[in-house]
Amino acid sequence: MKNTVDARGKACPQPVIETKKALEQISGGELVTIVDNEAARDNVVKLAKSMSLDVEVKQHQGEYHIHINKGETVNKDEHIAISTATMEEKAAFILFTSNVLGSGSEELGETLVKSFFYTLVESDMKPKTLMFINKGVYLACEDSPVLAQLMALKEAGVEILSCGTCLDYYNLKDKLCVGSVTNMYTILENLMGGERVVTL
Amino acid sequence: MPQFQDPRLLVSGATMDDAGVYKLNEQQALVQTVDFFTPMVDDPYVFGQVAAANALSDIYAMGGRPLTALNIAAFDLDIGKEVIQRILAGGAVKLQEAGCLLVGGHTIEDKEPKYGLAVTGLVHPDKLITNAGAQPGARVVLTKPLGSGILSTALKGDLLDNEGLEELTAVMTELNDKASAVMQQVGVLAATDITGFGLLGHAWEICASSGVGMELQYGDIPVMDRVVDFASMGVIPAGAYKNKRYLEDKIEFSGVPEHGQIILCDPQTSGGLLIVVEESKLSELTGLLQAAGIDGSVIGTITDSKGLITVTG
Repeated sequence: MKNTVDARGKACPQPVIETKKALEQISGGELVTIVDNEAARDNVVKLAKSMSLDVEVKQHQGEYHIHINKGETVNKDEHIAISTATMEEKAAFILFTSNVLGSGSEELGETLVKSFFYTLVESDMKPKTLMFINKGVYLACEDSPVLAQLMALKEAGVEILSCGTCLDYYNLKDKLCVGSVTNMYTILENLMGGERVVTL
Repeated sequence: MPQFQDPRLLVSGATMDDAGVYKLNEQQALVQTVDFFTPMVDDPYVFGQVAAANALSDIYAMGGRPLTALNIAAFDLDIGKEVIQRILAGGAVKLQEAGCLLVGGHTIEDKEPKYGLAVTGLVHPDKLITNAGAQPGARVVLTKPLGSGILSTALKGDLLDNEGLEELTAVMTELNDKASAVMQQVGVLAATDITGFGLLGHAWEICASSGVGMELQYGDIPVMDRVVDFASMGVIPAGAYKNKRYLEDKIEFSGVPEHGQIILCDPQTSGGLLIVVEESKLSELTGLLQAAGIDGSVIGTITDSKGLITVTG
């Protein structure tokens, strides 16, 4: 099976990003990225070399076909088994999609969210990271009912991330009080990283 | 193109300098520049600040003091009134920090947003600092770390984390006003600001204008965090390759890694000042820069190998 990324006509860093994603998706074998300018060619070659992969460039009428060899297929099951064994039996990531807890009465939802964070501050079981998206970002901003609790959690070493696009949308960028701004790339990495995720 | 010549025209576009200079009288010369570009960050307020810091920088690089500025903008009205206002507000807040007055501007409609400023400043004709004053034996100082082109490219690819973005923003929005005031206080031989041609491109302009060469120590050149990582994995703007190709026969690298060579050619937005100072004044310059909160890195020495830059690892 031949995997190909057609990055012709695309400006840097797009050819590198698309090649990187394609390499992450295939478990082994060859990937061919096609580009039409030298800067993109050099950048994709650099990417392959930085990942210690064999790379060969073939020129076809003003286009460059970059052949990257990802080597043998790794045994996926074995890989997952190892990572599960070492994983702690608690949630690493909590994803908040709203500023209230659950759907139903808004008032009840707000009471529950307060109760949730009050309890979490007291609890020994703390997540690694709290991520806020959509209306969830309100919780990390000025006038949040749980600001003090979030600050206490941050003190205790919990990472607090708010989605930048969401802060922009709700005009909250200047109002963020705790934690830092993140992007979809980081959120996705956290969600797909193989550790336990709870969505609220 | 016909050339403009006049005894009052002290610096024109012909000499690769940062701004044009016109002598008004024995005490005063006008310094004029214009610069604008497309957004390199998502936050409109930050973009406005970067554009203004970048435009003001040309005045500072000549040793001048900015007086007035005009906005130059192109916007697609679909991006919304609020975004446009944030961009202009970002520009205005930097002008205020610089003590420079906004006196007007002009906007046209265009699909790709663009913003920048035309800035007018003053300098004493005898205290004008150009590219053409470097002498062999003098030392070379850089006032901001490199890598804004590479980090902006990483940002475009959604690869830059928040700390990286914060560092990039801080570097690009920082005015070169204090560094300029310090070099005027000390008295230096030559200076320019680092922008689109990268460190080596602008260093070469100094060499060509002054009829000298330059020797740089790679390890002493400051670079922002993560820039080496991104350069190694090929997150590099096409402009860096263009600069490197243009400079190919003008630079000799010895023991500098491939990613390092490209970082030195990385096009900068609102980069630092590259200052050439006599050895005897070096410690005074770096001391005063430090007192002003600026890390002035001593990165090399001027040589007599005309038009040649050597970079040693």
